[in-house]
Amino acid sequence: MPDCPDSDEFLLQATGRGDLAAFSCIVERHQAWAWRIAYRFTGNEEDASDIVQEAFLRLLDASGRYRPTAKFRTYFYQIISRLCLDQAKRKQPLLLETVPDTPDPSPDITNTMMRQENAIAVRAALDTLPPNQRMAIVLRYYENLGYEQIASALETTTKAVERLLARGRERLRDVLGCRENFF
Amino acid sequence: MLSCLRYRNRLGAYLDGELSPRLSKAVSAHAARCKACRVALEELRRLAPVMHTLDVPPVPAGLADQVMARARTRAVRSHEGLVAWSPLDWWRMVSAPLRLATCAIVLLAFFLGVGLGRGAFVSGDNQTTVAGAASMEGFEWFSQTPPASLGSTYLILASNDVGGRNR
Repeated sequence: MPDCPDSDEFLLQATGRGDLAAFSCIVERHQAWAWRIAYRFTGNEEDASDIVQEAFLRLLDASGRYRPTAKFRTYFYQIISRLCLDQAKRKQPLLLETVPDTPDPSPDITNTMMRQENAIAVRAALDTLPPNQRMAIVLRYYENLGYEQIASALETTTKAVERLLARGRERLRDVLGCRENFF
Repeated sequence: MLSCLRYRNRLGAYLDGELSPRLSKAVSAHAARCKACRVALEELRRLAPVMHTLDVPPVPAGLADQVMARARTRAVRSHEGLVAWSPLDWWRMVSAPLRLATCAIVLLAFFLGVGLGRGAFVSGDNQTTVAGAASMEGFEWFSQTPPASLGSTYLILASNDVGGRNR
C-alpha cells in the first residue's frame, strides 16, 4: 500500500486534477470498508465487487467537481448507498445466498456450526427487508454510523432514518425471533 | 405522554443514544413500568450480537488493481475525448462566428433545395406531372405524394431523366 499521509479530501482534489496516484491511495485506503458495506447489503461477492468498482469509478468521475465542504466519507457513503439501492432495484435478493466459510478461532465445532447457522439466518432476515431499511440497518449495525450520518448517506432526514431502523429492527425481530433460542 | 406503541417505536433510537435526554428519560421510565416494552427492549439489545454473526469474506484479491486498470482506461479515453462524447461538444467548442456561418449554410441549403424543387415542379414544357411520373412502373405507390414536396420533386426529376435518356 502506498504511503499516503494526506487527507482523503486532499487526495480527492488531487484526483480531480488528474493525479491517478492520489486516486490509487484512496482506493487502497477505502476498499475494505466499501467492500464490507456492499457485501453485507448484497450478500453476494460478485455483486459487491461490481458495486465497489463502480463506486470508485463514480468517485473518480466526480472528483473534478468535488469541493471539500463535504467530508470524503459522507460523500463516498452516498455513492455506495445509491449504487446498492440501484442494484437492489434491478435484482431481487435470493434467500440463503452463500455465506462465507470464515475460520472460527473456537475449536468447538458445535459453536462453529451454530454461528454459521445464525449467519445464514441473519442473511436471510436481511434479505427480507426492503432495500432502504436494509441499507439503514447495515450502516447502523456494521458501520456504527449515527442517525445523522445515515441520513446523509441515504439522502433523507434523521426522522426518516429512525423510522427505517425501527421498521427494519421490528422485521428482523419477527423473522429471527421465530427461530428457537435465537433471543 | 406518549402511548405504549409510540414508546415501543422509539426503543431502537433509545438504545442507540439518539433521543434527547428528556425523551430518553421518559422511555426509560416507561420501560420500567411496561413489561411488553421491557421485553422488546431486551430483544433489541440481543439483536446486535446476533447481527454480528454475519461475517464478511476478505476483499477479493486484485480488486484495487481492477479499479485502477479501469480508472487508467477511463483516464486515457477521457484524454482522447472519447468519454461522454456528444455531437453538442463540437457545437460548444466552435466560436460564435463559425456557429453563425454554419447556421447560414444550413438555411441557405434548405431554401435552395426548396426553390429548386419548386422550379422543377412548375416549369418546363417537357416536365412530367406527379401523376404521370407515378404511373411509371414501380412508382405507383408514390402517387399520393403531395405536390411541391421533396418526394414529388424527386419523382419528377427521376422520370425526366429516364425520359431524356429514352429520347
